[in-house]
Amino acid sequence: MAKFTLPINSIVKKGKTFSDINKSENMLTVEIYRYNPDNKSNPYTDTYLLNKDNFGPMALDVLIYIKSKIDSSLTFRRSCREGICGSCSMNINGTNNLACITDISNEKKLKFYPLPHMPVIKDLVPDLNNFYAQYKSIKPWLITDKKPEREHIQSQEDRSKLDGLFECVLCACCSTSCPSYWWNSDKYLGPATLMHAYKWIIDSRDTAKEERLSNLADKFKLYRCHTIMNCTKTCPKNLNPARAISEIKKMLVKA
Amino acid sequence: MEHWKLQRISAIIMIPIVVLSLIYIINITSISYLQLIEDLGSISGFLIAVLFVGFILFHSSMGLEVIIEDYIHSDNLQKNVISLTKLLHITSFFLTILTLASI
Ligand code: SF4
Ligand code: SF4
Ligand code: FES
Repeated sequence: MAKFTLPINSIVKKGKTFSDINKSENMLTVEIYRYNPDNKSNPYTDTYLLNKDNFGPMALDVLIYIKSKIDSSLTFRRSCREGICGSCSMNINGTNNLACITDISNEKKLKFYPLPHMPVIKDLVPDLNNFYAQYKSIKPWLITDKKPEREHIQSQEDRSKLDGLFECVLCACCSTSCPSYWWNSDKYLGPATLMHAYKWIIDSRDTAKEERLSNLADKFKLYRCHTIMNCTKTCPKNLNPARAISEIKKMLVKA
Repeated sequence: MEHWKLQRISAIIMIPIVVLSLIYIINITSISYLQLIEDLGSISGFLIAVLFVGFILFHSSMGLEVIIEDYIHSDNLQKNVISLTKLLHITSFFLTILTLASI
């Protein structure tokens, strides 16, 4: 059965509180999910009372501040700090987002959790192996029988069809916000992977459209999408995976 | 794929039947008992009622199948529960026909 409650060893307990603030003028209360598999204990949330003047305006700045000044054991992924690598995806105040482009200037409280419904490696770092394996399964590379002497030419018009798709940074915010993906991530490919599949299907340089489509025509791989549209609502890059999925469904009706 | 298509098609076909039936049901207080029996006993009344119930049951059975696939992960249990709902739907359909035919 789908799991509706947390297993006993994943129930989140209350952790410690740290404070580095004297007056409460520009106070930010930060709650962070902590989990270390080596401790063999339940996850817990630590609370940090911080002075906002001490760090930059983005959620990632808060995490970097805590890691360098208060608790170096805090674990999270980040790299580019400009929303282009997709590493810092996490759940911030209940919404999946990239921490480095989440503006916190108007926030008084922040809650950081790892991406929902994923196995947690440590603190805010989820295990994305299955997500990447699914991405690999759609053959995310150019398949073509043409052998041009130089590059594969594409008209500007055909190129523009890929706008709104190629910008995806594979952060997994969308897939991990999708209830269908929560219940069936072992079989359902999820919005990120499906949007990439769609991108290859409509790429004028690719000649494996039929093969790609028939590979997706599956009760679980594709049709677990029930158009709930959490994916589109949450995408930090403002892309629309739900639309891409319904375009695939439409193509399959016509095929 | 077929499942997804049939679900959409049955939903579209249901629109006029449901609208017609709803109009009838809303006005039911202004119809006498005898008139009601006569309507349902007529060939067209019988056919509309069978179509109405048939498509609703068909659509509901398909919808439940998807929900069961979503939430029940054990393969055997999933198959059995789906068969059971199908059986219940088919039984309800035949009971409806029997009831209408006996008017
Ligand atoms: S579609 Fe958006 S949310 Fe999904 S992986 Fe790509 S960038 Fe992230
Ligand atoms: S539209 Fe589809 S992929 Fe997006 S959240 Fe909904 S079910 Fe998931
Ligand atoms: S650090 Fe690269 S997207 Fe946030």
